Amino acid sequence: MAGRNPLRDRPFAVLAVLILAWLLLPPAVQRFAGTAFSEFQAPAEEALSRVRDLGRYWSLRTLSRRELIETGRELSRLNALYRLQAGETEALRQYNARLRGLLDLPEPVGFRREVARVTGRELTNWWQSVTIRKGREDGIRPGHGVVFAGGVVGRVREVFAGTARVELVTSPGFRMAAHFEGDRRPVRYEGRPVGLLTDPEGQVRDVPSDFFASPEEPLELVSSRLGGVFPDGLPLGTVERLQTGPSGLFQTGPVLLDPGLLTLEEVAVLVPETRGGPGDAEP
Amino acid sequence: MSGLRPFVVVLVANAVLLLLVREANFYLNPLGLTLFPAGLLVVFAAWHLPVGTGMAAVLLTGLLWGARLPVPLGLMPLFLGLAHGLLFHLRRRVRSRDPLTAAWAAAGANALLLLGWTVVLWPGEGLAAYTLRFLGDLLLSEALVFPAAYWFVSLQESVLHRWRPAPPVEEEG
Repeated sequence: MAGRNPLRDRPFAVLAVLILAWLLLPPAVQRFAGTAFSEFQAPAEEALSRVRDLGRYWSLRTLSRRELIETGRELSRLNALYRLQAGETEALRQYNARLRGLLDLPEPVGFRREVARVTGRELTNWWQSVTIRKGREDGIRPGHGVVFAGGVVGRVREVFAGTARVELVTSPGFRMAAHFEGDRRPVRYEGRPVGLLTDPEGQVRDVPSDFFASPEEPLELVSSRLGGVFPDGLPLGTVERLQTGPSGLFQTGPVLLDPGLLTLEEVAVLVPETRGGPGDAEP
Repeated sequence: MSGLRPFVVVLVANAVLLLLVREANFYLNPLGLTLFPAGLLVVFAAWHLPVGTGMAAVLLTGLLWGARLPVPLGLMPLFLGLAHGLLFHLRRRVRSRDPLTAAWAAAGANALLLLGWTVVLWPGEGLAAYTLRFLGDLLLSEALVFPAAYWFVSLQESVLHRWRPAPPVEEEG
């Protein structure tokens, strides 16, 4: 006579047995399972983003010839302006390099910009991240900085073969060194999740007490090269209000971030050109 | 209804649903809203399948979902497994198996799971904004999970019905 299965109709016992079995697995196997499950879904996510791109292409095809000509003219004007600015930037870079040579200063870490398309967005109450369509095969490593036209986007958190997940500056766990434009003293920036129907915000801490900010005279917060993830001076946000913290020595305040962070479509990953970048330590 | 067939149907249906929800969240997230579909993923497995098959499908769904989240990999399967166990116990008390009852069960389980998830990941500060966002997510998720459950449960039932094994052919003596 076959014995009755002791786990039959006992879902919590089944769950306990399976969770125990999972916990007893070596961490390497658990990590491998996590990566495998994530990689397994990557093609489906990429396919969805390609369908989205195709939809945008077909919607653009409905534009009239007149609208396309006007857009083309506007783009050509912008192109001419950017060419001029690129020339000025190059001249400034050479001037900077000459001054560095005269003062015998070390060369700062250079970055290669790897432009990537955003395929997924996860801006929840608990974490804020985006998935991009470039990964390990493109030289991207965990810890690399990510930027867009409006300034700092965040930091690469996980990298897979052809995709990577980027932790946004609005994520509650995000921290980075920053400073106010025109002042070298470092302050600490922290992320805050995007609220219901509100613009993205962060928080600045450890601000010396001699700073003053108001809506009429806002302070511009920019990235600091401390940490080696971002170059100096990339826009982070605007501070319109500061208040003294509990210690009485430093101030804290909200940082108004670029609303474009919520609808990112293209970003650039800052891949360090010289050795010693944050990702080079990764295997 | 045991075996590999229902397991595959539930797992594939859940994977497709997760993908659709991810796409919906792509457009909802900029508004500060997130659609949380956890209740939909457990209701059919808990109400129609044997405990082993249903639990295995739900835990694998949890691993698929949890692999993309910045939390320990076992957390989402644990949550879905607990909800599955709860609904499995409820199925003895509720005799009706129609999609409308399943929709109520899915909406209830979804609210409980979202509340549990919110409590477990409770932040140290910014509680007012966190609670407001939770309420927004809860309202949106419940408003969409209820009608979606009606369709999702019927879909899985219909696929399983069509994919049932062929009856044995009686040989003429």
